[in-house]
Amino acid sequence: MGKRTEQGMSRRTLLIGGAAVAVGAACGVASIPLVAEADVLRPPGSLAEEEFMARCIRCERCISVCPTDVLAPMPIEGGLLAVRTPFVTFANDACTFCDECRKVCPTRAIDMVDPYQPALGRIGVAEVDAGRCVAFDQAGTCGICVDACPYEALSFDEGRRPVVDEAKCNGCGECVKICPANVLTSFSGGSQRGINVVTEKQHAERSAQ
Amino acid sequence: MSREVKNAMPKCAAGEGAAPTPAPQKNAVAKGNAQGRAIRHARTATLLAVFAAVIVSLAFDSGLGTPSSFGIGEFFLLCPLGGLEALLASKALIPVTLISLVVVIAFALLFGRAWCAWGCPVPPIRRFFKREPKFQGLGSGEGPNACAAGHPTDAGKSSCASGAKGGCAAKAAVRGLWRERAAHLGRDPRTWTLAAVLVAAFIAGFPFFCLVCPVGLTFGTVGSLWHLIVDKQMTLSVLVFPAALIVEVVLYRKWCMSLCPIAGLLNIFGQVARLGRPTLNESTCLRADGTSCTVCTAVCTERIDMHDADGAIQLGDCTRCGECARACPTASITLSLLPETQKKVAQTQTEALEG
Repeated sequence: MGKRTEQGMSRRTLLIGGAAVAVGAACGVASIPLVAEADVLRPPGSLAEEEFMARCIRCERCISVCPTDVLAPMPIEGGLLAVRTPFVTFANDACTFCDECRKVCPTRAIDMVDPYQPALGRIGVAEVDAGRCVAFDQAGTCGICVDACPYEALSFDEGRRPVVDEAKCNGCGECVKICPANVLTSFSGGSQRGINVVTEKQHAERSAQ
Repeated sequence: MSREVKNAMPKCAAGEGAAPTPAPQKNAVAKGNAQGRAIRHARTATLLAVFAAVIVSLAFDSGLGTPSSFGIGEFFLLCPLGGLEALLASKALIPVTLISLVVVIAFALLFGRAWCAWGCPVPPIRRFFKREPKFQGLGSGEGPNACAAGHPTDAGKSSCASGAKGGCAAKAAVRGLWRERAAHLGRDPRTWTLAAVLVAAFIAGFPFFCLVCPVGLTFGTVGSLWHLIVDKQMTLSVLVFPAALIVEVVLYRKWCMSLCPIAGLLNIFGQVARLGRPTLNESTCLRADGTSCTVCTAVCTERIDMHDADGAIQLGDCTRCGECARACPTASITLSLLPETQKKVAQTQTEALEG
């Protein structure tokens, strides 16, 4: 211990302590522009990305409780700051809006959501990939996504190709789950299918083009 | 017996050879050591149960979670540091988080740093790699060692009763117990890490420490291994998480003692936590006859010296690991659940010795 001040704290301690707090503040400032970088599908009812990142403590409880296992922890490749936060993947199954992830979240980073009112909040929105969808390749051969949609957000156009009704689609992923394009058009087992759920941001960007 | 203990033992044996052990003490030896051993077994079992719960949670979608947030459905406990960070980062008062924080903090006010010895996976990981920090001996900057030995349970209140050093006694009289506690926390670098972490969370707007938290990384590793094996998810996380963990707690062996902000936070509540603290029977302690035994301090992860004048203050950092009770050569240390019994144990042991 160095020379003590009246409180019994050495000047060295105060210096080191002050430096530690300053480093903490610097780290905080430096990471501000990086916080909202992740552009991924969040659990249904998740708060806006910035607020979600502020609250999520990466406890992975939502991931462990999800009965259809559509939630996964963000891998390190998905961004250093977002690592271990939950994101939605429809590789195996679809979201049933069971509300379990909201219930177990210890910081209420996930709020209530009504699957029948997508305008008030949704996981994302489905987009048909004309380059991969089998119905675009050979008209009339496929359309199982239209039958699979529980919210009647999919219909056929005059050429019997699937069309998404954005007002009804809540991004549940039933169409992605059932889409056979991944199997039919690729041997590599890629994650992209003939119909995919994208974030609002990605959707807005693509609609603008 | 660990290497450090062996290093510390020759000091005890120095002088008149091995300490003579009177008959009543022999019973106490068996009892005290048995308690220490039992606590060690109980701690291992608790930690295994935590890991089992995490894996069960992953396997059966039960949502038990990880120690970062643990519970059933809407009833849960959450990491007090993560919770505080989330509150500061979001600048919002989240009711469920606050309720859970109150419960966790209430526990910390009773049992102090018990989490560190009973639930945290970091000490066992470090022990597995045989990277325990070495004991440098007393008075090597672990804390003030100026005053003569006082009773550990009331040394803080009537500090420096021996009055060996006039200045020390006078200072203690002026300073309140609370100021001593505050000063003790101020000397602890972990308190400052905690401050840095909370400031970072507030400014950055997200729980900064959760990114590098070794507890989170441990269960993140478990989770990523699970997702790799069961869900065939190939990610670099499987390699990066354990690598970061090794750097933090194995290569840097003083994480718990010098840097951990969770320990820093729990230390604050630990200052007043009375349950489960170790009690020293000074009459059977080897130090009673002047032997400079330091076994209890050497095995203590916090290097607490109960014989020190501010022993009671130092005990605010106690993790309730029971290693001191297990290692004490005369079984003079007992962990008592209630503060009342802490006094009684010391009393009856003294009476037994005298009678």
